Amino acid sequence: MSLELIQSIVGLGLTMSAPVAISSLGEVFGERSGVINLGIDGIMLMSAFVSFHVVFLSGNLLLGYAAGILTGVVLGLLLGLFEIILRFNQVVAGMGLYFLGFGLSDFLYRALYAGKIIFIPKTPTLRIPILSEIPVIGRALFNQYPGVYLMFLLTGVFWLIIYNTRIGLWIRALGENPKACDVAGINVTLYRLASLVVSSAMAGLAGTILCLEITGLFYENLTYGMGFIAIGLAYFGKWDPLRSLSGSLIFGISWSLGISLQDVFIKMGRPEMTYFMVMLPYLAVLLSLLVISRGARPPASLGKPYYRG
Amino acid sequence: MGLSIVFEERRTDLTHILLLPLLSVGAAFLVGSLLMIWSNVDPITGYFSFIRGSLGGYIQITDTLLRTTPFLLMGVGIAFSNRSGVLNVGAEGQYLFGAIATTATALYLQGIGMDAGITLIASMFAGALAGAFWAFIAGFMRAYFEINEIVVTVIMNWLAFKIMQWLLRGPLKNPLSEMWPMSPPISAKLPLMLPESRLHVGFLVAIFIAFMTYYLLFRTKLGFMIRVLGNNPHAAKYAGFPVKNLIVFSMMYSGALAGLAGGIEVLGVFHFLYEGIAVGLGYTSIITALIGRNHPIGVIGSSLIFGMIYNGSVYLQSATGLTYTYSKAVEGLIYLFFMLFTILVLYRVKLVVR
Repeated sequence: MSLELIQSIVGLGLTMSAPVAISSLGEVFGERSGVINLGIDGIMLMSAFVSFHVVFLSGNLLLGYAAGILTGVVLGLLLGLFEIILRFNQVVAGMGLYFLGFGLSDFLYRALYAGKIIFIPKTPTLRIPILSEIPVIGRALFNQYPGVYLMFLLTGVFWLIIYNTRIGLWIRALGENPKACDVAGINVTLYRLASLVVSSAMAGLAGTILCLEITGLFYENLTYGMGFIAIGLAYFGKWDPLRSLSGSLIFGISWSLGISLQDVFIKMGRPEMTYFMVMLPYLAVLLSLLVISRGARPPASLGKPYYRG
Repeated sequence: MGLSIVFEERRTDLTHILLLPLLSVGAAFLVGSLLMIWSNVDPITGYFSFIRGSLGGYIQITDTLLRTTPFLLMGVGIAFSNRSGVLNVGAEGQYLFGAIATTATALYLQGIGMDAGITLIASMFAGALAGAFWAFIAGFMRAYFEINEIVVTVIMNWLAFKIMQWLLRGPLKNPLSEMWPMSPPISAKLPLMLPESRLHVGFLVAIFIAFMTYYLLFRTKLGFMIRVLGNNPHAAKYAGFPVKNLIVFSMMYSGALAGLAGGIEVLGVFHFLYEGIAVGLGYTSIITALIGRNHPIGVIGSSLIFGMIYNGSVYLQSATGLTYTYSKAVEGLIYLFFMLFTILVLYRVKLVVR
């Protein structure tokens, strides 16, 4: 394998990791407070569409990012209404949001664009001056899309918040024993709502990154179930931001590995084998789940609505 | 001190249960008409063609029943596994895997010149078995490794779709069709039920299975154990029920019905395998199970609603140009309104100052 090939595998792998890693971080944060967000994939689809539409209309990429995150916040509040305020079954409510995001994003796209394939200007990569000149890793690591830098930055930020701040302590305590928190004077509803909204906003950012940095266009179900992979990686990471990041990197790298192997098979004259290569990242996640998250213990109150008294 | 919301369970009777789906479908169609106006379609024309397309005549009604069949089978299966407390999001993949196995078996048997009747029964059986196997993987990982079944089933759906794409270009390829990947045609067809309609006996099979599942859930010891497990896992554990195996079994039962649905669609409707059979019916069936309140008889009603929506939206498309995605958007709305109305109809919601 040539050096250049390794560079491109790692580079594309990091790019592909970003949406999964960021939505997985959100899921970790939400589940730490005891709330399951199963709507991530729907939120990603919806904010991918909204950011696509905003960029198409305004031509302003920053506006697209803002709109994508805002979509996540709004859908997070809607989910919070069902999961936390009305205390509906969290699994059922999350699946509902998934169906809504899945159906509505596709419906709106077809209604507004008549199903045509339209490319929008993609976010350019950000080259970091001196670091990108480092041989081998420089180009893969420091000439990347903003989402990749955000992935590393946000992982650090979430790790700090969860383990080193008072808010993080409360969030962790809420996941284990909401009653004790209530007695200690912490507003359970408010904190859980806030952490669910943060988790949805992350999913919104992830969907935006997928659309504006990776595909540059919108089509039906463009997440390919990445939101559900992100939920799986929260389990894989045992609800720790650093470990869930490592899971996302496995997913992203095996994705780009599969793509490079596709070329090998096409050159061999066996194009139908490419369908196996696309399965690689999903198989990798499945196997990692099997090997690592055996007996992972979720936060004690995960998925249980809190009733006072 | 502060405001808090208190829920008191209402005493529910049959009117409440019947009111719920009707209210949510009505509200979803109301919002749906806003979507229609917004995409420049007159909602009255739209819904008129919708109703005419799904219930307007003999052919339309039998076509609606034809489309009901996969929702009914998969919805009943998902309802069954929901009763044990696991959510089978993998009906889509199990349906595809069942369709693959049915096609492969039927093509093999017709290759060795087997009788059509035996081919039909054997290939449907193979479909159910394949679906059960695909679900077994998720059930086993959930029961013995405590890995979230939703995540695993979603991954399995993707894998099944990719395996199908590979097979259609490899071992199951129809050499005569270069442009559109599809399998060779299957000569054995499910017998039709009525003259001059496409409705086949698969619909009767589905109805029979719904009643059989009702019997299994509410009249047998196995069904009792599964319902206890779903309502109170701790109680099931202390009662000494084989909790792990119950989870695996309920997933496999659910998968078998989804696989059978895939097989019946291939043998009764398409007569060959192609990528277009995966249009998310398995995901819609999750909504079907929810609206049917996880009760096999309730699912008969709710799958009729979705059969109508799917068949009606075909006519909607030809009359107004709204594509099938309109029905997807309406599906999501039905789901959300159902959740909302469940709370409002089944509970008394009070705002209390403490």
